[in-house]
Parts: sequence; C-alpha cells; structure tokens
Amino acid sequence: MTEILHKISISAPPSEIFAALTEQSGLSGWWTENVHAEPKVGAICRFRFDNDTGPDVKILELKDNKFVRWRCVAHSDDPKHEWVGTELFFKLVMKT
Amino acid sequence: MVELRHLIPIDATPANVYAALATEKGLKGWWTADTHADERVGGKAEFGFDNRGMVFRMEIEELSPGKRVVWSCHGDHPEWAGTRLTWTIAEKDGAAALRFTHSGWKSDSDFCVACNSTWGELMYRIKDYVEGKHPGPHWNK
Repeated sequence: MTEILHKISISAPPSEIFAALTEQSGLSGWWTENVHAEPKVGAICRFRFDNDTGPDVKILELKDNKFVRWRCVAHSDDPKHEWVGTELFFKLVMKT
Repeated sequence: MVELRHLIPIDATPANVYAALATEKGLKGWWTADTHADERVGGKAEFGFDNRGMVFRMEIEELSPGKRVVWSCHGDHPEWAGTRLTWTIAEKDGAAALRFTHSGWKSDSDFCVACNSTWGELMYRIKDYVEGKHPGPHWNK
C-alpha cells in the first residue's frame, strides 16, 4: 500500500483551515468550483473536474478545527478508479 | 525507507527538461539562486538556502542526456544525508514527462513530509521554467 504524505505551514487560525476543508465555499475556493459538500459525518462530497468527472468522498470523521477524514467511495469515470477505496486524512495542529 | 515520488507532464523536448536539471544555469532557474553545480559525472553540486543557513551537497552519479540525472546527497541536513535523488525524463507524443524519486529517507518525519510538499511545488516550477514562463528560483539567496 502506498501512502502520500504532505505538510505545510499556514498563517491562519485552525478554524479557517478547517472551513477550507469542510465547507462548500471553502472547498470551492481551492480545489474545484464544481463541488457539492456538506460538513456532516456520513455525507458524500462530490468533486467534479474537467468533463464533469471526479470522485465522491464520504466524510468518515470530523473533529472541529482538528481533523477531517474522507474515504473515496466512487468515481464517476470508472468504478475501479485508483482513488476508490483510498482514504484522505487532514490533521491540523497549532504551531507553538 | 521512505520514498517521495512525483510526476509532471512538461510541454517541451526532453533535452530542454534535461538542461533544467543537469546545468547550473538550469538549476538556478527554479530551485535556488545559490547553486554551484559541476556538469560531469563524479562532480559536485551544492545548493544553498537562506544565505547558506542550509546547504545540500550532492555528488553527481549519473548524467544521461535527455534521459536521466541521479544525485546522492551527503549533507548538510542530517535527514537528507544518504538520500538519493533520481530524475527520469520520458518522451510522449512530442512532449516530456518528468518523474522524480527522492529515496532513502529514514522515516516519514514532519520534515520529510514537508519536503514532499515543497517538491510538489518545485515540480510545477520546473515545468514553468522549461516552458519559458520564467518563474525564477524558489529561493533567491
């Protein structure tokens, strides 16, 4: 199994980063404008890119201003798309 | 051992992608202005950041024009020392694809994964540089 790991410092309060990862207005501000998202555990967020194709991710966990976990449950292109079954995890930590 | 991997399509010839990785002028165009690089196998390349607050020292292990560049890192950062950086260029339908592997990390430390994010940004900077968009180096001194 391959894991892709990243880390970045952001000069903003965790609440704003959390909003960027959970709210429709946040996600449409950096990933794709064609997104339907609801910040609720169990909700499916639908991301669409060129040609109106893209992944559907289910929100597995949300902890306010701390973390977000998604599982890719479908892809409009192909049910066997490489993203399907992968998990995406965002963790926010306050820098001291 | 942890490996960082990236791949980006570049609208250019493999020779132009190679020049961005194998020449001092090319490396100064996207990574750091403080670059001193030999252009021969067995030579050295030094990359300085933030007024030499950090220097990455490489030995040039392979230079295959239009195809591959390999460096081994010997310091100064303790987590970079002992890692290997491999650039592989492929040609497809008149354009290039650049694959990058940074292998030999001892662990996926915070520093390691932050470097992964920086490599992602640098891949786009290499692309812009080779495609003639003059991004300038990520580090200016």
